[in-house]
Amino acid sequence: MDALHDLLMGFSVALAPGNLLYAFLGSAFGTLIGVLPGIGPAAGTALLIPLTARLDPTGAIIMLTAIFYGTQYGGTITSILLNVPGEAASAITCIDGHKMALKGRAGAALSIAAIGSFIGGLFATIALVFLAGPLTKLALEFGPVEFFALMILGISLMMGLAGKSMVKALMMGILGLLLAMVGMDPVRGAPRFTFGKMELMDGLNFVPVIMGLFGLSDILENAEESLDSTKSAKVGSLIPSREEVKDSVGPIARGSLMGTILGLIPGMTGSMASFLSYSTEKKISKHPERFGEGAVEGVAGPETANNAHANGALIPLFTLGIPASPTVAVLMGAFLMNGLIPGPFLFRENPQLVWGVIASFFIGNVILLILNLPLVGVWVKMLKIPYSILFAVILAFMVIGAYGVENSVFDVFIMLLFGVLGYLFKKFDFPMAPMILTLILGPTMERSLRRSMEMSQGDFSILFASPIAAGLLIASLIVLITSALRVFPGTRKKATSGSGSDRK
Amino acid sequence: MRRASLAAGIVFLVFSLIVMVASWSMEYYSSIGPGPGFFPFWLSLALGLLSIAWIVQILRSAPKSGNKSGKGKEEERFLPRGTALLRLLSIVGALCFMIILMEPLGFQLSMFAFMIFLLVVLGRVKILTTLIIAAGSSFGLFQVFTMLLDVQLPHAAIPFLAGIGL
Repeated sequence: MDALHDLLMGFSVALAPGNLLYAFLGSAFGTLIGVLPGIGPAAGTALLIPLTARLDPTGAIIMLTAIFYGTQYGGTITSILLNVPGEAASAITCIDGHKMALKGRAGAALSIAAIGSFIGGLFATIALVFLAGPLTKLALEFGPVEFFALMILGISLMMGLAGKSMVKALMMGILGLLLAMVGMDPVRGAPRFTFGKMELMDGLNFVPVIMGLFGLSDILENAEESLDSTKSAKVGSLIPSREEVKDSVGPIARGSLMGTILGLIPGMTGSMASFLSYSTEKKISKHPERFGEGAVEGVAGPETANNAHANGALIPLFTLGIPASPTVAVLMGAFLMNGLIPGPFLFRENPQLVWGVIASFFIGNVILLILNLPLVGVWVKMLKIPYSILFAVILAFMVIGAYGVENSVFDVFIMLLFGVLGYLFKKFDFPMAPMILTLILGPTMERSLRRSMEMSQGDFSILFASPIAAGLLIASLIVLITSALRVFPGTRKKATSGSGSDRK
Repeated sequence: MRRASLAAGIVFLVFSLIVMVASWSMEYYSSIGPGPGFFPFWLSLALGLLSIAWIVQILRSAPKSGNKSGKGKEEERFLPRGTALLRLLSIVGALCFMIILMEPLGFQLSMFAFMIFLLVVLGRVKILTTLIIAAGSSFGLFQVFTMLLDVQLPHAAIPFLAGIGL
């Protein structure tokens, strides 16, 4: 009952007019980012961080989290109408969603997707409310040793699930950790890899890095093709038929559960959740032949799962301080920029903020349902903007976003540098998720390990002295070994080729 | 693609060696545990070893089949060619110029020029539309961000331009 009491207190914060406005703005921006094919959730969320510079921390986090889960709603619209996913987690929706649109059922597909997204988002948020207490209680038992081991497990999962090549995933994870070393050393304050640049003393700013890796690299990749835009299908009636509603109930229920559970696991992306939901629905369907021909289950399941995943992925961030995906890592960065360290202590030290933000998820999801159903026409109009204009405007915002974090031209350069690197990483099929995770977790990880070492006077056996830490480290090892075994037989053949990315 | 992958592997290897050498100049270990150089050393060593593993994987992988029909026709190109490459380089080049000009010319002028280039040359957008969007993205966004959102975008360093509010 404590959880409900805390949640009610949270609602009193979230329902304040200012915070309602931020939830609305965040939801609208999130939908917009989801709708625009040129920009994904990680870069989009990073891009809008400067907008929150003047807000109080509660308002800033409410807005940024709403942007994050709002992108999951918006991505559906382009998948269904254009057959182009607005973001990766909605890619699978193209298959049946666009087929429904071609049959004149685009409105119904959009409605089912929005309702599924709403239910999925609510389900995961309810899970967060009830898991927050037990998980934070557990995490409060953790010392630096256990936290270090937990972060290792998170990173191992991310690497294990990141791509086809374990070697590449490990390389990217280590590269992220090395980049996290830039700046003052967290224990002694000694400068490392700063090349005498004052701008690097506080470390590499993650906002321009993410905007480069996930945003600019996408624009560069798209520039390989001509900048023409595609034609949108007509929306038609938004009301689904009774049959369509009946067929969607099961997929929505399963998608909610599946997405929430997968959201808890670092490395499981929204795309994986939607893909798994799609394949499950197809497998258990009495008429699997309908899939690919405009089956409503192929829209309801994945769209619910990716939203449940988005909200579910906030559970490990809020309770343990572990980001489960690149976009959540961006959110973690936003917490840190506001002087807040996500994790169990935040619940104890700043309950108003945490519960206010959690309560805002309920409000945000209601706003998103309204924005995506009756107001779908507004977003459809946005799709009429040709990409030849859109890419230039996105670039302008990226320059401002990168500059605005620290008011530094150097950060715009960092964005450009990482944009080119991101483009090359994609070409070589290097997964970028492990790099972002380690870049953001790096300083905390190093601090935890070095504190542990100080406690043991430099004796590494302390890492295995605590049963929890030992268990987590062994689990990490098992994850890495099983992933390596799964991957190695194929890597020789695939070393120089391969496709697919988990960039969002 | 194979050659490009090999080159990338070598770049990673060289990068890890540079980091390793740089980490030697930092304190490795102290009486209370690892020093600032501890992590970078082991991480760069691991990165170096992984780069070697990747290079070995590439060398051991058979060159792409498709050699039946002559060399490399089937092989995936690493970088695009022709106009696609030109478009790519134009964006990178324009951003470079923008970054260089942002401090002397200020945000508004440099962004205006940047947008005109992107929209006219790359987007082939009509001139009137271009002017409206370029003005909105430069002068317009400058006002919105500095007045409403407290993001201080740079003014021109050249006194004459700064004097007229740019």
